[in-house]
Amino acid sequence: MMENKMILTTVVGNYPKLTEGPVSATNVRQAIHRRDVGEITETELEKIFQENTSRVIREQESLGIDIITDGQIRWEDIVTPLAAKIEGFKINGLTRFFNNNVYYRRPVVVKKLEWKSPATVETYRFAKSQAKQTIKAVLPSPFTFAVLSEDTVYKDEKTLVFTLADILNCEAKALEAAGAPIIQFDEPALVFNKEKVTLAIEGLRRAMAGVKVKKGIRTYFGDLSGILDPLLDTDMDFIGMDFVSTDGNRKLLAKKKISKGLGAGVVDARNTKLEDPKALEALVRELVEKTPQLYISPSCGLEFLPYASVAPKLSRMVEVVRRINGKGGCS
Amino acid sequence: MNGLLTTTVGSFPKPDYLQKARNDFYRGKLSAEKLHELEKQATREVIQKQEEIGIDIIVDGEMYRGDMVTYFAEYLEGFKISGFVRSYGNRYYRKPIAVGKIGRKAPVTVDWFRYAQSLTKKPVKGMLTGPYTIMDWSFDEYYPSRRDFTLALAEVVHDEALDLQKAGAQYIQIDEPAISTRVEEIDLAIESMKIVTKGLKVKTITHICYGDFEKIYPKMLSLAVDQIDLELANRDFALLDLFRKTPFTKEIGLGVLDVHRHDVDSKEKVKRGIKKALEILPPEKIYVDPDCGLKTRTSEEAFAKLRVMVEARNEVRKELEGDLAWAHSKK
Repeated sequence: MMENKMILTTVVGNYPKLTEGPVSATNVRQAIHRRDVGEITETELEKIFQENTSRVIREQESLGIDIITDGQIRWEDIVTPLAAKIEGFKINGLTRFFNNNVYYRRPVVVKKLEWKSPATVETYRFAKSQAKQTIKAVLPSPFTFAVLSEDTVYKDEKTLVFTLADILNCEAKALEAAGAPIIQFDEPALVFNKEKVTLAIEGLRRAMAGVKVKKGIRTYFGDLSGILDPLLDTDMDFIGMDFVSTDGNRKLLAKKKISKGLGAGVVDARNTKLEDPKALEALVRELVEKTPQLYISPSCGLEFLPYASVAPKLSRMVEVVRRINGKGGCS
Repeated sequence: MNGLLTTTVGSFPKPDYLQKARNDFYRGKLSAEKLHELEKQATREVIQKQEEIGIDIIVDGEMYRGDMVTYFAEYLEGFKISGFVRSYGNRYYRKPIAVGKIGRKAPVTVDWFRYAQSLTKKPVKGMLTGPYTIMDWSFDEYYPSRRDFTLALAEVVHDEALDLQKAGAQYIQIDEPAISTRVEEIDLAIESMKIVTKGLKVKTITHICYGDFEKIYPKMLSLAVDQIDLELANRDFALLDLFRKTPFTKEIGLGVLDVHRHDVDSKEKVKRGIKKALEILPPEKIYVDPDCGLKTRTSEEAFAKLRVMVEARNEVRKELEGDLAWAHSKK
């Protein structure tokens, strides 16, 4: 289904939970609020989560995305769904999510962490049952998880990263067993903490150990200048890079090819401005020479955008990729 | 004695009747006139409350603002407002999008300033959001770069500041909470603040939220304002140690109340903060206030916190006067 196409399209992770217009009956925001004030039950909320998961899967498929996600409809942020299931975390106050005007709840390690049961597998199974296209599973990387957490127990960053890596390894293996053909670890913290690349890689090695399906990382909000080589020297199958937030990654690949799959974030997922098709095509044509497998995507999760901006941006991305695939003669 | 004047950062919690009125207004169930009346009522109440507690420099409480950036964008030319984007968890907001040249049809905040000042003999602060923050918290489909967008906004905010000065404001605060998010753009923030405060004769203040101050200090002292207002209580005044090494050359807005906590701060803690500041600055260069806007607290919490703040200030003043009298008696 997908092997005979040279360039594949994908998304990074989350998808807007709220549509615009008269869809209030299945509005996730209202439903969560109504659950919080006791107007609907947990089961009723679950049904609305499922409806919206199906909706965003259909939307991604109808827009022509090859490798989709479940849209992370249940995710409060990148760490809370996992932290809430891991024993030893307490979910704390709001903290800024990197350099965005967006906040997440900081998990605090209050006792030794322990993985009890999968946090994302049931949702993955449901999403898979709804999807025609390949659906990838997305987890935070151990290093990013550690950076976003506060530690009052281990008091040593390396121990925390490794502990989280072992926990995420259990989660990844459970996802693999549930049929996930691709497991992606999101690593936004790395571009802000380049001096810790060795620790981040050691964490990823542990998190990916024994995982036999396709696996890789996704970096965003910055570039990998200065730290790409050690990342290439790992056994992950693909590396995701952001070509929008800075021009660093483009410069980095100007004189270099990589031997891994490249997840290229080329559509700005943090600004509503629609991409110029010519500039986009030029960038994708440039990148296709750099890797044995190019995955084209937005620069990060789509939740930074209002709903109305998503379809035009994804359509433009797909249209450009189809044009190149069609003419490229790569199949 | 002079000095150690008390003030607040800007926003106050909206009373329940106003919250409800705002919701009714958005659902089309309440007229703009009726909403405006209730906003005026809430403004009167919050000013009266500040006088009663003994705050020296009054704010209008921002009863008529939803959000500190979108509010301005709604009144400026060149902006439209997006659909919902997520702020955190189950919280969403509408974000401005620059779609054309930014301009100002008429003053935005002057009528409210005049109204607030007519209610009290104490000085009312003019409250603006700075160009860097408006830029960082908006989408941009028009300007070629973040710098172009910011400098265009700076001209507009400058015009608004001039109008506030003309209307009699003795203090004008230009909030730049986004400055600490991207330390690499501090030069842009400095460049744009120069434009905003150019030619102003009144006292100018900027509020910056907690971030990587180590990376922007002492550079942030180049911001063209008389006073920098900082969150200090939520890190137990640790930041003041930084100013011991490199002198703080401006007046300080000394955040002494942790606005993200429900419980009322202890008088001892507030006094300790003021005394620590007195070790590096004279009293007339210290303005005592909460860490940030109070709108996320309940009215009861906000007022109880402010009472403690004023009591603590009064006690420190008394102690200082005692010391002075003692010093004079020794002469």
